[in-house]
Amino acid sequence: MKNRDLYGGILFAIFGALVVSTAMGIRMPANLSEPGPRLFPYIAGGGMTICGIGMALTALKEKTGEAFLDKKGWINLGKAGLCMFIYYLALEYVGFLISTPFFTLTAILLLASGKKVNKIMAIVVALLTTGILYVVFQNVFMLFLPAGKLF
Amino acid sequence: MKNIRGFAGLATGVLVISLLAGCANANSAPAPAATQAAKTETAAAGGEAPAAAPAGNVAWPSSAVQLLVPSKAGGITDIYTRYVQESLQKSTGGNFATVNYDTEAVGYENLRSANADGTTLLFQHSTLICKYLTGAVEYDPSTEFRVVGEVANMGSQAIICGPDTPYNTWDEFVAYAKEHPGEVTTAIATNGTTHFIFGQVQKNCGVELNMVECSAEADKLTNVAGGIIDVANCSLGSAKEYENAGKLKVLGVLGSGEPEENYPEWEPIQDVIWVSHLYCFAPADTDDATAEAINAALKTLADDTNYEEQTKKIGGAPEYYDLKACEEDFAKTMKELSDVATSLGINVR
Amino acid sequence: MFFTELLGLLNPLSILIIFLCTVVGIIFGAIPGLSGGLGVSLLLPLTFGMDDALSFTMLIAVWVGGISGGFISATLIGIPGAPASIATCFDAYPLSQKGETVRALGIGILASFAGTFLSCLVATFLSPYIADFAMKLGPWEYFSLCFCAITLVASLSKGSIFKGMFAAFLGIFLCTIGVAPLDGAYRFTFGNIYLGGGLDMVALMLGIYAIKQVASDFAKGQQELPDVNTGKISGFGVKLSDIFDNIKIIVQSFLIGLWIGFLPGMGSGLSNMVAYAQAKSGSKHPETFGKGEPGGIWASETSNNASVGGALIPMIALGIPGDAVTALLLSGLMIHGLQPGPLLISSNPQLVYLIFAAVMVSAVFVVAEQFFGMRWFPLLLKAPYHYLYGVILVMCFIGAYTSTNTTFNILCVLFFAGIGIMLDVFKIPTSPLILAFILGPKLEEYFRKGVSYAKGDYTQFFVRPISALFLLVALICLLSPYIKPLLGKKKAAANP
Repeated sequence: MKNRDLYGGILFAIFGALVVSTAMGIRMPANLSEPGPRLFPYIAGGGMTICGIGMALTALKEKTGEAFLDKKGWINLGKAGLCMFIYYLALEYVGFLISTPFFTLTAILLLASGKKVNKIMAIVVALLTTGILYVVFQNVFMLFLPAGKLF
Repeated sequence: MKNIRGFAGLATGVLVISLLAGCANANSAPAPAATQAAKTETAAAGGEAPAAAPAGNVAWPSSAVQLLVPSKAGGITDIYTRYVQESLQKSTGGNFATVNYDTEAVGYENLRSANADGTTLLFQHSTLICKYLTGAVEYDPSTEFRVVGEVANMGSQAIICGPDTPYNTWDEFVAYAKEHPGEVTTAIATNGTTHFIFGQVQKNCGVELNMVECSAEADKLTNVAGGIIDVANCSLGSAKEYENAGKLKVLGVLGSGEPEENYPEWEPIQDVIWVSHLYCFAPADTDDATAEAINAALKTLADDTNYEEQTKKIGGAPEYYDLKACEEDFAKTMKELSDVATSLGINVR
Repeated sequence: MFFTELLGLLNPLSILIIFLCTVVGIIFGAIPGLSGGLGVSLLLPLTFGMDDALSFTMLIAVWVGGISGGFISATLIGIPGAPASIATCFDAYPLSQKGETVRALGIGILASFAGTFLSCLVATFLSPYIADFAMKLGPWEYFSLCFCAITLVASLSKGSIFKGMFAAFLGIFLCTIGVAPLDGAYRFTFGNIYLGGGLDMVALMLGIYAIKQVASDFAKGQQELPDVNTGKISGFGVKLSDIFDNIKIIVQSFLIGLWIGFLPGMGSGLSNMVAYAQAKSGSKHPETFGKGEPGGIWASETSNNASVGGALIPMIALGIPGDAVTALLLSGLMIHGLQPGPLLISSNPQLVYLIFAAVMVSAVFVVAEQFFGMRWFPLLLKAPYHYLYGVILVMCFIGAYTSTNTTFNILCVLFFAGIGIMLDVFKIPTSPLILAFILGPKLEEYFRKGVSYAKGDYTQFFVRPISALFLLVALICLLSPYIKPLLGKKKAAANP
């Protein structure tokens, strides 16, 4: 994408302005002798706006560097993100014990990216990971893992 | 061939998972406070010999119990709750686990949405009432939770001042504050119990204080010793240490108005009475039978000498009130605090 | 008295306990999402009925192990084990990728040991004298100190000041999400109770340094582990010249770590970033930082371990916590019926000196364990990438969950991973964001308290001598990149 920094700078400047405008709705206590809870959000938003503008202006002078990812890369990134988001949902609703083996297996297969993977080995690793983590966290540390809302 | 292998792998997986799940149910405490969905698992979670059921009522605990603490591990509420856990484990033989929530509201939400079957309880002191009245949290303890016990009197507090202040006793402080309205800086936690405490001091003594935010005990001690804040409250033990080291003075003891057994040299303050209880809450729709069973189990705390020793070490004492007395005392406290909040102009309910 | 306690620790039971607990601590520290602090909080209830000496020996051994373990994963897989080792990643991982894994590990081990051992030595003999200084510090002084530290974002932004500063302001914005200090107003929470507690540092760390890294390597098709030569390693794999070349950074970072650990509420999570930024800013070749510069590793690991001794000073001498872990240790003291405070040293000297001795002995055990382990740690990298990182991903998710006991935190990790990707797309550095995220809440709290305590008077920041001094230092640091070249030109003109 050409002028990536230019568009980015504009986007950041708009975001900064949004932060400032949302901050105006923060409840201010009465009779304050100090600046109050809106000060730092204003500083953050204002700062982001100024930096965004600066970034955009600088971009006008400079050439854009190489892109971060090509189309294939973005698709892969999307796959990874979707996979992880589904795992989050599964943890929330189905729980650790059921979702983790599937996620681990999927992660192993995806990360192998076409390399030959022994499927049995992958399943064993997935199950072992789940089992070991479960026993260690729940029984040894007494730290509970997600149980899933549906159960 | 590949397909069969894959299917075999999947079948193995399902088998192992179900085995693990079975183990899990049999071995340890259950998953975190679940939702309204019915739980089908039964006892045997290490729950041998549940407490003898009160006449005609349920046995508690019938399965593993989670004790929620809406604050960090290592904090005072957490310590008390773990003492309760230890004692209940001994007296009921049940399986208890303490769960901390750094974010208070998340702890309350987990109690509110838990099953009302006695498997989830929450421990908190009157700060919950204060925060609800001032709008800092949205959980009304009188309608969203049910009080099933009061397990400890969390003890008195010392009122401290710097080594160079022109007053040395509570009365001198009140007199000074009357002559210098708005000048004496006092440390409060906005919308918390100290806000209410010093608000009552203002009301009952007819003084105007400059209340500034300072909630951590460590900050209170250093700021008062350093002369940055004039007056604050702190635990009795810390006050004694700092007083003996000559770093600050103690104006009096804030509590029930009676002299402190371990600190007879300090004057008990009469202008404001503040007794902090540790309440045990269950979800709002917990039925009477379960509530009675829990309350009965909590009674064993008062007879546990180890629990008594532990709570005394941290400045408190065991307590027991039956269910009805708890509910009445809680309602009374809520009303009193609501009046204080209204008089301070911070009651949003 | 100190030496009595030190010798007292050299009995078989204590040695076994220290060995086991330091190993546990190292494992906790090394696993992303867990930390030595978590280990201490899990162990604390188990020590309720135990003997005082044994309890504290165990807790301290886990703490020291945890602080020293974070650099292992930072070096081997580029994911910090705990927030205290974030800055270690910046250079340890690139150095490891260049094939110098053992050297990177060796630097981490030695730096950790030096930081812990020497800071504890300082704490043991100087606590009472230094501690009283804490009482002269009010919110004005703390604000000015934090302001000094935040100016370092400028040095972390070298290359593009707007991009670096944008990251810093973004960090400030992110840390305002939640409940405001002092008044309790809800900011940017949109009614969500989970956001009410603010965004979790562990989620930030896992999102930006773990998940984002794995996801973007996958996207780029760069799933490779460095080739490690574990053949002939002599000693720690570190030459003496390595130490002498970086002695200035080591001393500077040690002092920074000691000082930040000493300040209540601030610890190794902050000191590693500040020391790193300071090392980079003071370096003649700042462009080498982030590409495998050993000085970066020395800076981060010396300072985060020096915070251990630093945090002990107020804990022992005033009964107030220097950081989150000493807060747990203080609870431990209370649980054992001991009253922390200025008189602890005189009323319980045995326990106080035991604590100091335990730290030092634990540090020695850790360095020995890691010395033997360093030939084995890199073997982890022989595992196939897809198995190793598949498991690591799961552990990150679980680490995020256990940090706050909410699945919402996992969502936060994904959110931060997204932010990390966005920063990479625009080539924006992440370190100013981290530094600002950690310092932001303190800056705001101390600034507003300073004004509030002075009843609306802003001049106190400049009138109080210590505060004014720190602000002056901050100003000099900010302006020196511009003044130095001018002074240089003047000199050249005066000496033709």
